[in-house]
Amino acid sequence: DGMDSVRAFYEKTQAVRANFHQVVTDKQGRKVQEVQGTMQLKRPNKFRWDYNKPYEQQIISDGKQVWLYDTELAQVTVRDIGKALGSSPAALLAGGKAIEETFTLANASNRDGLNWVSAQPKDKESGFEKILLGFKDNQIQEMALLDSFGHNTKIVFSKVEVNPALDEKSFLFKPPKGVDVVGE
Amino acid sequence: CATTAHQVTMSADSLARNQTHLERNATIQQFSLQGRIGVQTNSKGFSGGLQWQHSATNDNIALYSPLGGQVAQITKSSNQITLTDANGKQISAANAETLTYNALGWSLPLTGLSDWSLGRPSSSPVLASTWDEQGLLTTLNQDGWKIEFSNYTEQNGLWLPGKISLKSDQVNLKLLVESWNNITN
Repeated sequence: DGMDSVRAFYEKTQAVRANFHQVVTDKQGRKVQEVQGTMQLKRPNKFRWDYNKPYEQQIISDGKQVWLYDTELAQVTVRDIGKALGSSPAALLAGGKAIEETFTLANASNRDGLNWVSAQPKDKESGFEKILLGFKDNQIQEMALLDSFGHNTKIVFSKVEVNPALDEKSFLFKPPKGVDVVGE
Repeated sequence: CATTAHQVTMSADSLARNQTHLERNATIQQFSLQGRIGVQTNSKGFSGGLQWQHSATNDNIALYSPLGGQVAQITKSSNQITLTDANGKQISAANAETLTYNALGWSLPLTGLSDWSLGRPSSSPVLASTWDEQGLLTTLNQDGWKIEFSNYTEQNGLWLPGKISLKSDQVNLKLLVESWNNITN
């Protein structure tokens, strides 16, 4: 069931690479954002989400700090991983074993052929009411998040590679020349 | 219209085109836009998604974190403006500048932006402005802000900027417009 999958996911899967397609809809179901890209993660807390379409953006965590680079805005925002991003979806997926310290996990109903787990952020400041993780053969396939304004973010993963050899450098961020770096 | 500001030769007929363009854009009363906003104020900053519905009497702005979740909602009616953050906490103030400064640490010049994002000056005095051959504003100096406009696109007969960069002595703001909709005059 969901709980077995999520435990296996955190224990056996030390690294993941996949494509993602993220759609955010508001309370009335209107599409607010749709982005696609690739993601990588390496436990604990290292992750990299490269948004390719419709705009370019990189969210990179070296395990201590999270760098957020919006190419067209030519701006990098850097935050400690402990801050709000600490309980964000990207950090949730890349979390170390002590995942149940930051989230309360529970089985959720199965649908679309996946077994689901709900992850309730313990940190009230996370801004997310509810996070659902959908697994197939203990591999992450989908995520659904409800934020406190009632918006639904749905992330579907494809081409999921389990424990691929990842280049450590992809979790390091070097601000490009001429780009402003600001703290949160 | 890729000329940079200082090379602009503001010929007489581009002045005429500028005036017609501004007269046409001045008729816009309502708009909604979706895009991204980058803010920098003495080494602190924010960047994320933005959705804004504007009418003569009220404004509704949603700010999103890059990971998709909404971080703040700003609603402005004729006499009050309120910000609700991701934890449901509400703060109100008389104007957007004080409200966003208290809540987010940087001041959003909302009134001015409702004109500047349309590529037109606000009602206060214009210190300086330049435009390109087509008459589209490229720079504007007003209300203590130095503003640059670029990436204009045509939206049912009106030319609107796709990128607006604003600099005051405390804040650096960049607004990228991904889509305009229901522009009414």
